[in-house]
Amino acid sequence: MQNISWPSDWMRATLSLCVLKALDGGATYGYAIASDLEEQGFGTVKGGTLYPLLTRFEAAGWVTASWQAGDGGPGRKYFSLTPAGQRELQDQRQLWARFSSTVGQFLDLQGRSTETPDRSTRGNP
Amino acid sequence: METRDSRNIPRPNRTDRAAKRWFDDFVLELRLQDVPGDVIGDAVASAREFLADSGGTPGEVFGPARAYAESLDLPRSPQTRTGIAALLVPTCLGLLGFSAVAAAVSSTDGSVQVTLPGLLIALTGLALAACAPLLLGFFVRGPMWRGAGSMMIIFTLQVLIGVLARDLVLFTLPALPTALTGGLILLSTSLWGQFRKGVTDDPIVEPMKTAPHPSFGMTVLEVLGNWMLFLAAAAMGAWFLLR
Repeated sequence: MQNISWPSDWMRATLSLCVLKALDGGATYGYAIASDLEEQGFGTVKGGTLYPLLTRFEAAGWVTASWQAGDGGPGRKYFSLTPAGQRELQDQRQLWARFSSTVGQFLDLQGRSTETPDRSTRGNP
Repeated sequence: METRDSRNIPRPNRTDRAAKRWFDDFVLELRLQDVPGDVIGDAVASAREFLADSGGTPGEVFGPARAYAESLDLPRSPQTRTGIAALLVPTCLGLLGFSAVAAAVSSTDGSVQVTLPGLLIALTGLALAACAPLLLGFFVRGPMWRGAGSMMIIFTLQVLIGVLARDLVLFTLPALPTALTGGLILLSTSLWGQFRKGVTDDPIVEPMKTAPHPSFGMTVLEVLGNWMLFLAAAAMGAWFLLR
């Protein structure tokens, strides 16, 4: 999928929900989650962004983590959604659907000018 | 358990000096935050696992070690820093006890003169040891010159007071009670050091590994170090009494 550089504010706001969704398919580990999100077009998710989220999920009881020995490599920490995490994912998905619908409706409103005097003269002094 | 794994990803192994420095800073910061050893081991292993998959340097992937350690917001145990004070304060008290025994047994007139510079050095040492948990971050996190400069200022002040006060005697103590009190303090601090549960009881253990057992040599060294001042004071007392 084409990678677009999304505004960082949007990424910060939605990454938590997307990471929960990435965990919905079964136990998985840090780099697999980051790769999954990158493949889905979210851009590169660094470890410094991902692990604080996973730690927060663990503290909230939304995920459990267990270490498994690697195939000749270092061990892997696998994260799985708990029932509480699955409920949280469902709640957040529903809220997100309502929120994005609200934003979409607002942006589609007819008869509202989105241009400011500054913007209308940008590049044309 | 259903798992997804993509082991076809290249796993470069970067163990350069910068990476080692980053991990050292990361562990130090987590220690300063009072994070327990097994939780630190988990965080370090997670970072190594991610780096082995993604490549890049720790700084690129996780950002500055201190900021990353703070962002993890790991559970804390307040025992780590108080453990440092619990180690340093008895050590300073032990030195004080040793000084008392040494001054008492070497006295020729049956009394010990307590001078202003001597008392100041002892009190400063005790105050620094007691405040170590608060001062540790200041000394360790900043540049090396900051810690060295602060110690230099304290040392200069001590020397200045010593020079100005010369050998001003504040009070005189009888030698025998001073020696007995010093010996009792030494015995107490050595026993405390022997049986306390300290920072070394919370080693950094990586997941799927067991805590390292201290070797016989290390155990002997630890016991000797703990009782060294007491044994030296006893030997000194015996030598002065029997000569």
